[in-house]
Amino acid sequence: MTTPAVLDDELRHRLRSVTASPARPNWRDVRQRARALDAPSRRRRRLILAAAVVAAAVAAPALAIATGVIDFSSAAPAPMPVKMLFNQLATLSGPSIPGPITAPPRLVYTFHTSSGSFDLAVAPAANDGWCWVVVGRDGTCNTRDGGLNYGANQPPPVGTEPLLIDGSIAAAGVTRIAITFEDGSTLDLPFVQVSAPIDADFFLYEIPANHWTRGTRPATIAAYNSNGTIIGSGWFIRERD
Amino acid sequence: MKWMAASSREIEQVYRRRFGNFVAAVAAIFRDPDGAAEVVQDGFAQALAHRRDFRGEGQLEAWIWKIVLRKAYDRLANAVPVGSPLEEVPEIGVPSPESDPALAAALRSLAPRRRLVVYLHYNADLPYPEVARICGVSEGTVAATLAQARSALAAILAQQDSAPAANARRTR
Repeated sequence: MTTPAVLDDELRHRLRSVTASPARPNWRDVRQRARALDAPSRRRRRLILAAAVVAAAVAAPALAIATGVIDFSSAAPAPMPVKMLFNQLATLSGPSIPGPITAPPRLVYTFHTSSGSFDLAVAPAANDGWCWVVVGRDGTCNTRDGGLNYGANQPPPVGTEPLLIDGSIAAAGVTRIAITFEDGSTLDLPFVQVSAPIDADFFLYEIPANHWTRGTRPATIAAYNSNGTIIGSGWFIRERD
Repeated sequence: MKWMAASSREIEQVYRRRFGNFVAAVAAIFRDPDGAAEVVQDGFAQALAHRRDFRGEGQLEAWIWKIVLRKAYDRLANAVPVGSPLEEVPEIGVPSPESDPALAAALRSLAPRRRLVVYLHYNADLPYPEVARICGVSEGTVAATLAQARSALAAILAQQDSAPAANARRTR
């Protein structure tokens, strides 16, 4: 009688023998393809940016909707599990990563959404940068000249969670952060500012379900100063429709 | 606790460690040994470009697998002209009968989703929990599917074993 282990080996061998491939790994090629994926988006960003500047020029000055400035030095120290997350951030690399954190992280704010509450922890980093973690969600680091750093998950039916958008940008006079949707409508996001040595704005917002489907989804995001000038912007990348 | 932010280094590590498994499994699932490497390259490129979308739900490799499989399905869909007769559409996950008739018969006895389970386990060397996560089924379903695959193969192998013996008797 043939045992399951023998059948396992037999299956594995036969499956592999009919599908052998001589291909060899080529990471450089992967990186080139990844850059090519970025290229059309950058072109699109410039186009959208130009349109947004025109719109801003004819619109009334935007109202600041920041919910206040949080004093970093008086915020509570982050607990050990959160500190460990910041240690993981040290493993990241790339142009937007300023370097290791230079002071322990602190819990500075709690974002409340209909799908839950999320603590924001931040820490200053080398080269005048900062790292931040939305506990239970994600984390990254920013440089002061890195513009608007933002992220969003895929909502249902692709993903499994409500559409949450979070991000950060150097304070530098930001008075408004807004999303433009595919249907042309806009939404101003509430954000908080954290004091020196962070000096940055943060936001986390749950996008309503009526903006999860094709034709209504978030298209672009931009941060404005009091003159209505865009000082950081981006677009949302998504899977092929 | 969930964690996002896959680094390019982490993705590169998965790539260098597991490239052969990815190519082998994609080649098997889609009967396209030549196109498999192309799909894997594209999939990893997309993972690299969109690494901020990784939300830490499960292993990074499982997340990349989903991207690669989606690429492979897209390639297959684009390769089949709209309106093609059904018999001209390649049957996912079934090797051509010429290459291994017994294996083709064993796999054809499984539903397409279950064939995917077989390949992810045997060709990609993924453990039950990761296969379950990628396919959106329970670990129990993975175990049951693999048991079914073994059973189908055992039955076919038994037939093969008995056939030469019968011939041998006739030649005596």
